[in-house]
Amino acid sequence: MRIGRIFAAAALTAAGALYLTAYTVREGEYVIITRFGKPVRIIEDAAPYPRFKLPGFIDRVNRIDKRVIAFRTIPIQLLLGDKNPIIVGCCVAWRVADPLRFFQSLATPENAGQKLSDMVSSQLGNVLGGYTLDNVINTDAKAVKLREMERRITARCAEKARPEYGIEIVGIGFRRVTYPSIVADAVYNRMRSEREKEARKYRAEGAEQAARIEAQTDREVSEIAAQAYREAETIMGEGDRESMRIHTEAYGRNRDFFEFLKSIETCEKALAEKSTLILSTDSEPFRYLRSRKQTP
Amino acid sequence: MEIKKQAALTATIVNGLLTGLKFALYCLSGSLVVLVEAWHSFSDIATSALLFLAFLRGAPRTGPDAAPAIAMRGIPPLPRSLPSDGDTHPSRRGGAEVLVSLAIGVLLLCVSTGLIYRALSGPPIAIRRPIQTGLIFLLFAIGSSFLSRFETRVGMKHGSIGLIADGHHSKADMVASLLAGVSLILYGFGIDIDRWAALAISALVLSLSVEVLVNAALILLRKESPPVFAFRSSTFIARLCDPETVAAAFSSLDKALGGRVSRSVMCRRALRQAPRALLVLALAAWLSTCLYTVAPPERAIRTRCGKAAGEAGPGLHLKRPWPFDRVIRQDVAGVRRLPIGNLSDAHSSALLWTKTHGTEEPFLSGDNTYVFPYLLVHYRIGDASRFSFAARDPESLLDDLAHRRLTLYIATRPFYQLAASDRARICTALASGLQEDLDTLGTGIEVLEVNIRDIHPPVPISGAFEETIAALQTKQQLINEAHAYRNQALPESRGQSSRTVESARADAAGKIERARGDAARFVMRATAHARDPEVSSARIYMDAMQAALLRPRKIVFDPGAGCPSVFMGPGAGPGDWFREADSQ
Repeated sequence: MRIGRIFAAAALTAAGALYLTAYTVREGEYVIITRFGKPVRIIEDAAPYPRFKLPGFIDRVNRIDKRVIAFRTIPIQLLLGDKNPIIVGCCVAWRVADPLRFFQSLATPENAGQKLSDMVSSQLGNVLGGYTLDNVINTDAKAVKLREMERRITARCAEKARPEYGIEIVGIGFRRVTYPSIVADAVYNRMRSEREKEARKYRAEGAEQAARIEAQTDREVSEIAAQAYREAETIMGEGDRESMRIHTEAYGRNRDFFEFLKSIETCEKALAEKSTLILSTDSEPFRYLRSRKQTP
Repeated sequence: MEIKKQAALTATIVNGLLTGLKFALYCLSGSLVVLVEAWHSFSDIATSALLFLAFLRGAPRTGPDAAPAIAMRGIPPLPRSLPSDGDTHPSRRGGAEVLVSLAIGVLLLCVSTGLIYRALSGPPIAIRRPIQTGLIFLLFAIGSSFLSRFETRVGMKHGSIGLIADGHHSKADMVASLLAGVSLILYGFGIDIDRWAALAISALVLSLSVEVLVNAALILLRKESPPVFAFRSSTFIARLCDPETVAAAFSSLDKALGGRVSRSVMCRRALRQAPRALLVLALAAWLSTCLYTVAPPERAIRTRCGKAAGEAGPGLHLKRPWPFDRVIRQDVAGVRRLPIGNLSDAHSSALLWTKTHGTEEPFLSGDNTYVFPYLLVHYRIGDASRFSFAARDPESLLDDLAHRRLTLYIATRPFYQLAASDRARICTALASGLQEDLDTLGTGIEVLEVNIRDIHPPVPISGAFEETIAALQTKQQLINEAHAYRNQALPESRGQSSRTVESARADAAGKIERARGDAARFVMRATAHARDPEVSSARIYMDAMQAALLRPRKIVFDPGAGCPSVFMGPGAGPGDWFREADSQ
């Protein structure tokens, strides 16, 4: 019984001592051991065994996240180089590169977030002042310099963050770019007028194309008609030529007879119903009439 | 009587100092339990001060404690044997005190409920210097203990029920301080019970406030002595902390069961074996941490003392016991989705341009218009250990990267391209770009696809956009009509032209044929004529004359008869001549 009690007491003491002195370093974190607030040891990598320190209140374990941390800056309104107001919200990905410096300057990711946010916001203003709206949004992809701006902001922030805070900036990007709500109405009106412009253009283009098609049709129609006329006339002419040739050929054989027939035919046709004919009895049809009177 | 006054004054001053000190400690540590303790001390100042004032007022009278003090605390029922203070008519004498105590009661009620609410729902608070503060609180607890003994002793000696009650109260204070100190020291060792300790002490302050209110109200309502003392939390706590209470409870239970519990062999044996059984159970529980299971959609990462030491799929697995090996589980099979451009992602109606889809975020398109895209990124965890250890919040990182990619994409394209022709391209471009970014950062996220729900213009001007589309339709309509005209006019004119040509052909052919006919006839007649030209000429002539003279009117005259007045003769129409000729 007594041995059991002694054993239990020893076990409890050992467990307590272990609890106060053992610690582990997990994957994805740095550990800084501070003795009464003074950093005495930095462990950068996790290991598959426990480590030891002086008990709780003397040596303290400070865990610092080693992983990439993303945070968003509050969207801020600023002016571009061409006086256009714009609201930009950034996202920043960073990680602790120098745990001791980080621990001494900022200590927590929350502090780091605030510090980086201030830094990014001020650099954002500086960098964006050198660009125009055309560099931010443009249908010509070459004119858009958003990536260049991101690179410049990242470079400037990294320059400060590493030596001062032990922070490595993995990347800074524009999360969202938009106009302030004050100018939203103006933008809406502009968009509306643009739409109207576009609509009118479409209608006019429609009318234009329609007129073009109709005019072309009309031209083609008259061309077709003229062509037909030409063709018809040619055909008629050829017909005339051929018939004349035939006539000439035939009539040329006996010209006198033709003239005789023609004159008679002409007479026959000329003496229509309503004409009045004055004839002398000397004329041919009546000649015998007279001679009979004289010769009885 | 002087010593009573002195005791009350001391209690007031000590409590005032304590309150100030505790508020200062709260500012230094930020612990909720310290704040609650500070308010607790504040409630004590009020009661001690009122007690002191009561003594001052009651000084001319012989013996009795002031009624308001009794009103504040109530007369404890415990020391029944003590000589009574003989206090009388509290309402007559301490009206102002009762009112003040009512006001304090209301204040404490408000503060304590606020603190309870804060302890239940507030955000987790990081406590600074927990061990130092905790040690100070342990000192407070010791102080409270001494104060309690002092007050009780003085009260006993001088027969002041108020002081004895205050002593009990100090005992409750001691318990509270002890609780606060222990919770703070535990926090220093990584065990956070700050919230629960604060809740318990808040409940104590609440009970004090209710006590003050109830007792003050009772004194106001029942104006006669003896005053009623319905509610005392401090006494209750003081009693509960007494080891004798537990023994008494056990013996009364035993008595209720007829003494069978203490006498039964089973019970005694069970009591003797209990520690061993507990030990075995604890050991079994500890050993059970060697086993772990992984559910079908999950993947487990085993860490040894924090270092990643292998992954495991679904099933039952072995590991070293807690706290050496631990397991992090990640759901790798489940497809998750991240909405972009729409913060709410709650929609039950159709996605129309004339209605907002939820809480939307505008983007700017290359042609300087607001665009409201609504995309869904489908992704899952591709690499569980990367997902766990590469980034603190990979999903928030994904959200940022997706927004950035989309902003860059939209900034270089005109609205109509985005809304119409580019929809499929946005998805593929975003998916591949995002995967590239995620791989660069080594987040272990696998983007499966990006789906586009809608891209629409701002709702207030969607009418203008629809108008434009209507104009586009009108344009097409006009062009179609022109084409219809063309399609009709051209064949018609072609038909007309071929009719003209064909009729010309017919005419020409007719002419030629007629000419041939004429020629053939002429040749034949000429041949016939050539046989006897004279006769045939005469016959032809005569035939022709006959035919020719049939139709027209004729005037035949004889040259020998002179020239007739053909046209001049009035009344002598040509008919006459004709008749004349006929008659001849």
